[in-house]
Amino acid sequence: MNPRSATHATFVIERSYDAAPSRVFRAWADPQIKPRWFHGPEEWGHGQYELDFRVGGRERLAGGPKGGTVHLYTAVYQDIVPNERIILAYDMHLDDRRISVSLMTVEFKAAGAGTLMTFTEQGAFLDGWDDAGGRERGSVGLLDQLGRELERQARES
Amino acid sequence: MTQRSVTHAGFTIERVYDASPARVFKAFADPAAKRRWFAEGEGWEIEMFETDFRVGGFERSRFRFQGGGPITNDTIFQNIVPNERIIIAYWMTIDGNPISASQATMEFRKEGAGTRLVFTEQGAYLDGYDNVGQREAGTRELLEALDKELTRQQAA
Repeated sequence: MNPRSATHATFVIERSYDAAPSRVFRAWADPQIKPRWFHGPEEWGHGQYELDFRVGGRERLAGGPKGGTVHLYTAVYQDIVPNERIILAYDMHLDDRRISVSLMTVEFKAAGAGTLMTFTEQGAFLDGWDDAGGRERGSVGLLDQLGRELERQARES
Repeated sequence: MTQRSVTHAGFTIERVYDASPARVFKAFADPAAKRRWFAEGEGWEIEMFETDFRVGGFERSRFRFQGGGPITNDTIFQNIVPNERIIIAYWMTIDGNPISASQATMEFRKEGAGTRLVFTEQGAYLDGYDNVGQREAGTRELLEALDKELTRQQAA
């Protein structure tokens, strides 16, 4: 067992999307749309996903390589301002180890015809299992996937 | 309409208590003890205090200060390591307006016969209704009230 420790760190990622704030917000809020971009590597296949998008509501994503470590994300929503802001608290587990507990703020601001989205994570990384650098790289990957989902929607509309 | 804003900030408070980590931890874990130091106090009217101290459990408080508007605090327990660590996420409203969403880590470290409590808050303060300075001052008052609770237990 690792000795107990909590390392607190924060990072911010800004992204511009060529889609209105309402459409970017919806990609976070709609339980049908969010799992299209909010998932692990393609080779993991589809994980189990649940979303109850309201203040106090919970979210859960479990997945991982076949027969390998289970990656579990669970969240509870703290603040929702439609088309403007989402704040949630989430934790990550690898199998039965809790590796982090974080507060995530996502802000959506109109920028021309598109959206400037600001993603802020304030994290506590636990017992040496994870760090802010690894988490930031993972978050950048997810926001890339969100960008591709928005592009796909634009092509199909 | 409210002008939306989010200010991200944090603070750490360290405090040494003349009680073992097990006893300081228990003051957080035991609903009756927690209510005494966390919720009750002069000028505070408590309309609700419910706590379910386990990972994934909620604590809900509803109160008013000196006849003012309703204040709410909803907390979820994110991580509990008995006698060592508690991590919570909590969000507050005043008069129905969200004022903050925060995460707080409490570490209980043995120091001599006592305990060093390290309280770290990482917060998002909303729409100009609250700020980190006020939150830190309020938290210091709570940790002072915890000291009085521990002293009272010692005397009892």
